[in-house]
Amino acid sequence: MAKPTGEPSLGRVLATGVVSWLVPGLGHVINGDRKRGLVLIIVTTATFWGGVAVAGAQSTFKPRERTLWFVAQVCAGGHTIVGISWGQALAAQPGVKYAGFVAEDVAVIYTSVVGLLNVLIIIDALLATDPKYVRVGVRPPPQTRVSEAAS
Amino acid sequence: MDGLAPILAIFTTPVPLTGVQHLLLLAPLCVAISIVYKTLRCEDMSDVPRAALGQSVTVILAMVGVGVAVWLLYLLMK
Repeated sequence: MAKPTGEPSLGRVLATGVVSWLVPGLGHVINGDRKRGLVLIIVTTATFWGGVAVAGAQSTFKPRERTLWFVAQVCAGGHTIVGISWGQALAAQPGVKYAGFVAEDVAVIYTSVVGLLNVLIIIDALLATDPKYVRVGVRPPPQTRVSEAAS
Repeated sequence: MDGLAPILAIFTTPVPLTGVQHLLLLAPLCVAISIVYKTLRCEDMSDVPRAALGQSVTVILAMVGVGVAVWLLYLLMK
C-alpha cells in the first residue's frame, strides 16, 4: 500500500470524500490504495445493481414512500443518481411493469445497505489520507504475539 | 444500441420472488457486507478472503440459529 507523506491538505481530503461518495472505493484508488479500492468498487457496484435487477430501476427508488430507506440509498452516490434518473424515465413510459412487494423489499434493502457501507468506505478513505492511519482488522496468531513479546 | 437491450432489460424487468427465495437472497448480501467490512479492516489485503469467508459463515449461521430459536419458541407457545 502506498502511504502518502506529510499532512493531507483540506482540498485533498474534500476531493477524496466527494469522489468516494460518487463512486464507492474510488477514494481509495486516488489515495494510492488501488487493490483495496478496486475490490470495493467491484463489490459495491455488483451488490447495488444486483439489487436493482431484482425489482427493476422503476420500483427501487421511492423517496416519498420509503423516505428513510431513500436517505440510505443516497449515500451510495453516483449509483443512486443513475438509478433514480433511469427509474423516473421508465416510470414516465406507458405500460411499465412494477415489482411486487417482496422483490421491491429485496431491491431496497440491497441498495440501502450499499449506501450504508459507503458511509464506512468514505470514513475509511478520509482517515487513510492521514499517513499515520493504521488498520487493525486481523489479530496475528497467538504464537506470533508470544514471540513478539519475547523479543 | 440494440445489442445492449437484453442487458438493460435485466435492470428494468422485475423478478417474481417467493418467500423462500426472499430469505435465500440474504446470503449474497451477507457475503458482500463481509467483503467490504474486512477490506476496510485488514491492513494486508491477502487476509481479506479468509476473514470475509469466516465472517460470512458466522453471520449466516447466527441468523439461521436465531431463526430456528424463534421458530421453536413459537411452537412452544402455540
